[in-house]
Amino acid sequence: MNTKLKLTKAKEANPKEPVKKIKPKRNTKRFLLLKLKSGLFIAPSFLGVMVFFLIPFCVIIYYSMVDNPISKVYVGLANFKSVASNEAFLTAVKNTALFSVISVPLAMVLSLILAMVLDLKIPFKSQFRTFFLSPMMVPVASIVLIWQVLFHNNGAVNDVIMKFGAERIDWMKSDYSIIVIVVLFLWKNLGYNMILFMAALSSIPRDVLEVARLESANALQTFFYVKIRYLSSTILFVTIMSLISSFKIFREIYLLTTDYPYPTLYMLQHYMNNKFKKLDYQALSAGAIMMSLVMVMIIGLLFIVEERFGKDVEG
Amino acid sequence: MKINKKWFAGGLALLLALGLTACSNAKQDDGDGKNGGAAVDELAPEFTYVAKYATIPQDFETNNLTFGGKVAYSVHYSGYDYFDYYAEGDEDSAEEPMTFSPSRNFLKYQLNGGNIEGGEVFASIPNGVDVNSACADDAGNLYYVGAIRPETPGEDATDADWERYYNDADQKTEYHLIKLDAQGNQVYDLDFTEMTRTLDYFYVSRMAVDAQGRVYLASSDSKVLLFGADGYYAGIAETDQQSWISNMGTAKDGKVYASYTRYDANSSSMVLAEIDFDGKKLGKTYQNFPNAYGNASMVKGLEQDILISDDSALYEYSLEKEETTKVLTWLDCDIDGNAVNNIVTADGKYYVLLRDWNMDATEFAELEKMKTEDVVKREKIVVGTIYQDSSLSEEIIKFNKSNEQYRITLKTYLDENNWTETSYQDAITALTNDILAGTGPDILELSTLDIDNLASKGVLDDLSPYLEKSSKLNKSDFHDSVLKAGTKNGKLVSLSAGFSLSTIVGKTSVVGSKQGWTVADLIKLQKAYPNSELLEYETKEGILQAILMLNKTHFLDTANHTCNFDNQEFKDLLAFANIFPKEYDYDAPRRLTPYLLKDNSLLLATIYLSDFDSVQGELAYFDGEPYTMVGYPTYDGGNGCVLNLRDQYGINAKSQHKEAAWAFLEEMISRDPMESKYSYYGFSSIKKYYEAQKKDALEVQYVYDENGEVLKDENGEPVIEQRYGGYTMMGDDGEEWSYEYKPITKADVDLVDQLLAGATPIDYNVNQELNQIIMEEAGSYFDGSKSLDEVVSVIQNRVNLYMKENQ
Repeated sequence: MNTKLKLTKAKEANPKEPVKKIKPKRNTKRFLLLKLKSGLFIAPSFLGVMVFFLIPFCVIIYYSMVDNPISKVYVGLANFKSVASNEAFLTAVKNTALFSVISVPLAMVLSLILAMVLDLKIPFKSQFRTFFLSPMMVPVASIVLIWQVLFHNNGAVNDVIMKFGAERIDWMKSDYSIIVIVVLFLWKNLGYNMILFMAALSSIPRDVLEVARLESANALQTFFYVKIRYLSSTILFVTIMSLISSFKIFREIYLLTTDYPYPTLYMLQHYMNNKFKKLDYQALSAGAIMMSLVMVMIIGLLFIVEERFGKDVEG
Repeated sequence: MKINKKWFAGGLALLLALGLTACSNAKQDDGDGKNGGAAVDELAPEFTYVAKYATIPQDFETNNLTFGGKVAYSVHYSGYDYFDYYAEGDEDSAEEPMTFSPSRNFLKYQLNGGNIEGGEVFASIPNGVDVNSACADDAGNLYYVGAIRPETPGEDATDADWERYYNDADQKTEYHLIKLDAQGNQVYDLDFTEMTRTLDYFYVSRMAVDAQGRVYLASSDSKVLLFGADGYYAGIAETDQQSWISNMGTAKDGKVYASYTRYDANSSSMVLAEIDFDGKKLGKTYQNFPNAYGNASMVKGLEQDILISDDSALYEYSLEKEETTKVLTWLDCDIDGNAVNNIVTADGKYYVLLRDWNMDATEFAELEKMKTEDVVKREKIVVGTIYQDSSLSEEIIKFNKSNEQYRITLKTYLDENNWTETSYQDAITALTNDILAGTGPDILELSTLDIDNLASKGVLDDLSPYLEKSSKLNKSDFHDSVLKAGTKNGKLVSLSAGFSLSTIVGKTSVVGSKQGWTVADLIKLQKAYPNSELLEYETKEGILQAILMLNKTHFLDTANHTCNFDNQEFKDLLAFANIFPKEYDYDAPRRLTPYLLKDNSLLLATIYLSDFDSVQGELAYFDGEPYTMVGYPTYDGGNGCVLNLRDQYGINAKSQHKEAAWAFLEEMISRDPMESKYSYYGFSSIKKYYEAQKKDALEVQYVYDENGEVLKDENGEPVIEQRYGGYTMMGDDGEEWSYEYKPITKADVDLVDQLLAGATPIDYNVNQELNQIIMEEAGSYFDGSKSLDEVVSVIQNRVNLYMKENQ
């Protein structure tokens, strides 16, 4: 007779008595078989994570502690010290942080506003939705080409501002360059974020909103006290995704400005990419580890915030 | 149902696991970069081919050589008067054509047990007929295209007569297709001259015959002329995009196929097409055919349908699978791919005929397929290069033939047959990855690599200890400038066998008599002669590059990792470069350089010295006027002469075969350059060979008559052998200028010595990014879209970032 049958019978005998969960005893044949089966099912994924994430990360740690990838002499934390004091690295950290601080909140707020507008009963809703999603379908190379046409020193934007009597601005090689990249980032990412927010908005229980309306809550109160609470997990997800995207803006900047851009556009990945080309794997590895630690801290912080503000509405 | 779910989940897990292993069994190119763009399968490594050289008749002829079955035919010219040709002029001279006696025949050879025998006259070729191309079938029938050219003007002909002759020659040449049976009897003679008149230009580039005896002539463009078995003209087949026919030959199925490049929207690829004789078109096409550029030939295959060779390898192609299989790499068989003249298949074996034109030698070899384990084991040393280099291949073959302990293999990282925009960078990345993975070549050819960076990462071994132990070479054998160029951070990381020099020359009356000058001097000179051209064909970017070549570091503060491109000196330099044209108009009428120099319309000339004999030729433009080698202008002094190393070799610090790698390097570098089969470029880095080159250049050689007496000209002066000959230039304004060869003098060789002593080695691959930044930003100033200050500010910011990053 198996355990499941015993449980069923026990339940029939005394329905009020809580059902005890019977765990298979350790070291029994059945327990080991269960473990083996589970292990086999998880093995491919585990192997993938090992091969493509864990082992490379261990290799990176190893490289960060040797003098160079050829002689491989152990130098402890010297590479971290050297990278942390490198002016180019510090410029890259500052630029990346500044870009993320500006672009991520903007992307969040604007996409949420767009989602809420499109949640209303307005004409041409689906057309607007398509319009905002279309940048996602454009290849990066084409985006870069469009931006070059627009923001080159002899580009369309300068043509327009010069018609109004203003001086020509070299958008990509001046302090204005960060604005151009933020606009590019928003143009490319708003649609995706908006769709996520629209999905989250539509999943807020209608009865809760109805109660808020009956309780005479105004739109602002409903937004801050109800909707935002239900959106918290989506906000967390969108923030993380936007943060990751903001770190990946290097791709567009690189295609627009190559290895050594105007200093305000020099990002962490420029530093790492250039170090890779110069075979400075030790500096690249140390930089990558520092960057990943900061990312882990930021994401951990976001989880804490979400845990605190969104817990009461999670099912 | 639950069981089904489990099975489903298990299946998915298995699929995932299989997915993870999917990348492990990919067939990869061996990295020699010669797969011709097609997917190439490799022969199983357990087999290898060994060249077994056979005997051939002593006077074996290779003119228009063609193999058919087990017979071969070639054309023999007899009565060629070598002395007449040598004494009267060179082969390029229009005035003095080569003279041939009318006697010429087809010779017949037999392939017997791997040897070539025979050489008897098979058939005579009618007087006045030049054999353009010949082809034989398996039955031993011979087909050839004979051209009958108009008679050449007589001995008293004027230049005008000769010009008329050359203008009309093509239009008056008759073309015949002639078939001879296996006994040498003429089967047909078809005059197809009229058909050739319908083409823009006719020249037989390839000839093939199918199993039915139909003849296919590929013209020099996209067309194939078709001829029926009975000797009639059947029509023309043409490639679909008017692409030029790259190759043509008969496959195992007896049909004739042609390969050509097909262009798509974004790419191009080599395709093979069956020639549809009846449909008079190129029929079904086949993909993945090797590019096989260079000295390629295409015949029926042994194991597959078609056998094709190029300068680097031999391939078989399957029509059914549309796949290419690399049979062998010539270098692995100790064969110089450039010398492959014909490939033949007979008795289930590959044969190759090698023709070394420089040494006037012919060899025939059977390529014997052997188990790798049966071949003598030797330690394998890999030489890694970005580009293929024929002189390196020559050295490798020599070394492998003479060395029983080590075997050198060549790994070329750039696939020159399959060039894309990123090929060069991809090749560098692949080499870098190999180095970092510990699988890098034992010897690195460094002339296209950033040696400074590789040396600073410890990639390159110090060669000094090897030189100290060597019995053939030591440091004092090398020129100091060469050793200095190969020394990085106190270690000698590269050695080079040769070098060239380049500098700037001006008339002494214009630039003064002092060697070496500053950028300010150059600017001052331009201001003194505002209406003169400073350097020939110079542009804004060109002059900026030329000046920065020796002065880039002047604007860098390497100690503090900063730069000072925002100073007045650099602003002045940019402003100076800006007075030159953006692009040079090469179509504009132009006077000849010597005349421009004579009246100071042109002030300076750049000269490149690659051997002693080039000195006179390079300075001839000054027409005897005193000149000064002022050099490239500098900010920090020096004679301004640039030292360009020819090839630079280093040993991988992680190599497991360092001693063997040095054995090869030592032999290659210590070889007398004048022994080289290929034309040797540059002065020798080794002093004793440099002195030998100097002595050889100073030695005047005379022309002797048939009695061994020195020939004398009309003035009774001995006729000097012209190593390089003279030349005549014609200007757009009708002016002529001639240079007559002059033997080099002691003053000329002293001048080279003097330049070498102060020459600065240039490594073009170091700080390339810096150069890109400067040129990119300067362009905005040159095209007027930015002010000087704006440009200088951006350059300063970007280069500063570069410097900080590399601190």
